[in-house]
Amino acid sequence: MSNLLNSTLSVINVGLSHFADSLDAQGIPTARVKWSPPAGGDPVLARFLRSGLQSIAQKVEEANARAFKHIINAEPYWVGIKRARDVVPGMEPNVILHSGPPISWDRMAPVQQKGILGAVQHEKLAEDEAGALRLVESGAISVRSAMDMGVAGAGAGIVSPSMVVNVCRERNTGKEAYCVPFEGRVGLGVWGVYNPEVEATLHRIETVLGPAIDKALAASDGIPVRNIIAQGLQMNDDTHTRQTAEGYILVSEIIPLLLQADLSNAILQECVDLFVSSERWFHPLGIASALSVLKGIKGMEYCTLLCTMCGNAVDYGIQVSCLGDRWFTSPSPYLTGMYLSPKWSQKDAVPWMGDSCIVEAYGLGAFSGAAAPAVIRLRGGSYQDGIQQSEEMKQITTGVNYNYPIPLLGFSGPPTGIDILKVGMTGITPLAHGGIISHQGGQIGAGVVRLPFECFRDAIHGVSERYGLQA
Amino acid sequence: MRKTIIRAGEYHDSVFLLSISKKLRALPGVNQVVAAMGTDMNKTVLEDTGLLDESGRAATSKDLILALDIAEEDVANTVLAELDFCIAGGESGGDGPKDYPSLDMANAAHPDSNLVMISVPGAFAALEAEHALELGKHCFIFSDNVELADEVALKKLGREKGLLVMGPGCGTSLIGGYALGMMSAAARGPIGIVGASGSGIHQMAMIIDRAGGGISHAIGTGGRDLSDEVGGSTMLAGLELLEQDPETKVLILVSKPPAPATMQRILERVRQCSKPVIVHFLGGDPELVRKAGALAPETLEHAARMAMALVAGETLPASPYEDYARELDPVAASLAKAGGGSLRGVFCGGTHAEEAALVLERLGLTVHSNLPLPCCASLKSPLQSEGDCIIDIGDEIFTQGKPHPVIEPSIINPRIIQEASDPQTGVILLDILCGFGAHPDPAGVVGDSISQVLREAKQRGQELAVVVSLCGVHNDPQDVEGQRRTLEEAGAVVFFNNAQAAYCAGKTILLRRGEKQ
Repeated sequence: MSNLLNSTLSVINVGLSHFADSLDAQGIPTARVKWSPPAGGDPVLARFLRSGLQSIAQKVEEANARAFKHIINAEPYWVGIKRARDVVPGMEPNVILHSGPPISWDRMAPVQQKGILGAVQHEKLAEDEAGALRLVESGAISVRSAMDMGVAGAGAGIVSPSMVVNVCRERNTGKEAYCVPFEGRVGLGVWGVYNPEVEATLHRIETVLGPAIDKALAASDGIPVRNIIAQGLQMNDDTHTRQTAEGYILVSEIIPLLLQADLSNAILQECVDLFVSSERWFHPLGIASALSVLKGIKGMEYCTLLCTMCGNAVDYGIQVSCLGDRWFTSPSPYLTGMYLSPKWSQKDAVPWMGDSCIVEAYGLGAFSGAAAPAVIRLRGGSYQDGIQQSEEMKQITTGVNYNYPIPLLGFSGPPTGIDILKVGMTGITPLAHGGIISHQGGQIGAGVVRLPFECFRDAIHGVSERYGLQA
Repeated sequence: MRKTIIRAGEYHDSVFLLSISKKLRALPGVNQVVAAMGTDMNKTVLEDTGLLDESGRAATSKDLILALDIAEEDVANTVLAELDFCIAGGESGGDGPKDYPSLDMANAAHPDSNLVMISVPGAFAALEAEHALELGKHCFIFSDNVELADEVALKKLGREKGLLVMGPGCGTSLIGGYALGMMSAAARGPIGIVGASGSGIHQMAMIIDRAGGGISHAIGTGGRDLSDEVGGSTMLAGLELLEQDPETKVLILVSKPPAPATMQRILERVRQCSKPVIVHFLGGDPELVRKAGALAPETLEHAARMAMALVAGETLPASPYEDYARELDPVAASLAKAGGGSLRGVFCGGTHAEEAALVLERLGLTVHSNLPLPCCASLKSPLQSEGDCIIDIGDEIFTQGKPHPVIEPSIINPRIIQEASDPQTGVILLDILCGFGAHPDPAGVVGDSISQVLREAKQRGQELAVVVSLCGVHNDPQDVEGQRRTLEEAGAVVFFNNAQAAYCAGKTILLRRGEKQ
């Protein structure tokens, strides 16, 4: 080790910027750490994380390495569009799903309640909203968390048995995950908006377009989503707020399949119109793919990586691999960002709602901020801020996904595999990109959210309990 | 007024336009702006906002709509100019990341860094320091309130890894001429210092600098280093380093007297040192030091002068008190025109305060203090002075949740006013510290209070004097001569020597009381 007295000073300042200023004034090279308390400011937890885990440290490291490898090597494919009742296990005729962790009806955000009442009507179980409400309150309708059912619900995350879902299958494990197709600007599933226009759109997708596209996919091996993401990340997409490139690549992949699917010209035209109408078509495929990958690490003993993260506008919930289906929740945080119209502000918005941030758990979205300067710019940031954002997330992840090289990260990949122990140690919680949704339903902006620390703290305590440690 | 400008065939992406709109909205005279392509969706937004007029309605998705609600016509030109500026690229992006969210990230970007400076709350400082040591960095830990067991463990880890751990609770070091923490940029030279006392190191380095000498390195250990639990770990490591350091010819150790077992350990190591060592344990037994073959000075200044004499091969200076009497008694006499009064000392530097108390005790005063010195009578409360009194205002009771008084000296002002308002008070004694990491203009902060209390005392007919121990060198970022002038213009008697300031203040009180030394 170098003798400090013979060396040229080069300092890292952790704490008061006052001292860094005085080092600067003397011309000493000084790197500044913008320090925030680790472990959410809980010194007992901080100490436990540094020294209380030794007995399981090696097992944790091995399990996390195995899980990380699984995530990196995973190959999600888009293989079909099916009725939820036909593919989602346990999707009984009276089951309606919502995004986020499970929540009781009385605590649920009005926008999600509205979506569920709409879905009851869509299922023709009730004539009107009042009738739907009676059914829900009587317990005849089983309202459940989509994530608990293996479905990722973007936005309000409303899924009912006859709605169609994109099916993504991870090839190495065969695990499937589901997400409703993008329904345009007014939709029941994502936005919790139900009206005759939505009903007509849903009906058309469920009865005509879904089966047509499914037929086209069925005649192929499916469409490899990983390849599309890999290209998209090099073309300014983060795969959450922005999937412009990925959407166009998807169009070029699906059209040849549609052309071979023996569809009538009118249907073909309508399918092409559907895809061309919005590049957001790719979004649910990214979401379902991420979930199909992360299902593969659920329930791995000693694995401390996140396998689920989502919100329902009231609670934000996470699940940790080694703790299986157990939820850890905190109050759902608000996004900060840009509103689509100057008339909107945070008071019009609900806190984070949706399962789309599962893509962050797969290394995309906010974790791939460096890939998408255009998204960072939405918040007034520069491309350096995007790099900084990915670098920050690197502090809480297991490694980088080399299958997704990002030019501005020197063609290194996005930080991937969120380790709750690292979140605890650093006090840095994950970021997620996403849409800002109004109380009435509908998107009113886009931005970023910083997840609350408390659910991570509780999950760390969950891990220590499970392995008999004193936290 | 509302106004819509259509720029046909001009395309920008929506993210860009959203961010631009936000910027344009911030311009003066602008109530509302929407810059958007003329898509159906955007038209809906404009309609909702009441900004869609006929021209907007006629625009197509290939046209840029700039819909304005502005105070007056002219504002439109400002908006257009800003829009075009942004379209042309705006201000260039920053210089890249400056702050890192964690030590790991800073280290990844600066792998050659060799020192980590830690000033985070004590409960976390040990964790950061441990991490820094694991990364192979030396540590300067300003934070206090670190658990004693953590300090022991950190210093053990540092020893194992050959890394220097300065602190916890280290306020001052000077490495290769560079000031760490709160320290004057004293000139370089052959005298090395290791100290558990910030202002003690600072004072000696200043006196050496001002007398034309220089410091090789000064290593702060933190206040608890010489407890038996810690065992003088950093002092021993510093001694070792300075003994090996070719630039260092003479060593000074400075601190309160170490705990018994540690005292023995340190003095044993001193005895073996191949270079001359001056050991100033303030208030300690000089015989123990002399038995270890080291020199035992009487004040910080005395230590500094001994070191300079050793370097120059000159005769060692005798007791400084003879000089003080000769030089300062006339000054004290001039300050002691009226009778009575108490001495009230308010100190930022802990060792300055201790030295002042020791000097006053030697003069025969009974000093009340919040200092943990055996020679001092304790106070009922540090918030209220009694008799002749020395207050260490760096005490936790004063600084909780506030910056250290060397960084933010304004904390002293209310105390100066409080002391002056006591009709008992005859002399106020202060220390003011300059240097890197210190306040940019401490004399400016305190000077106003000094002139105020002197003016008000005069009006009341109270004979009040203010004596200041000023600590700083010419290379400091504050203009130290300017600092002295400010204090003198405020009416203070200023010494660049803490022991002299204390002696002068104490002597003044004695003369006023008509007592003899």
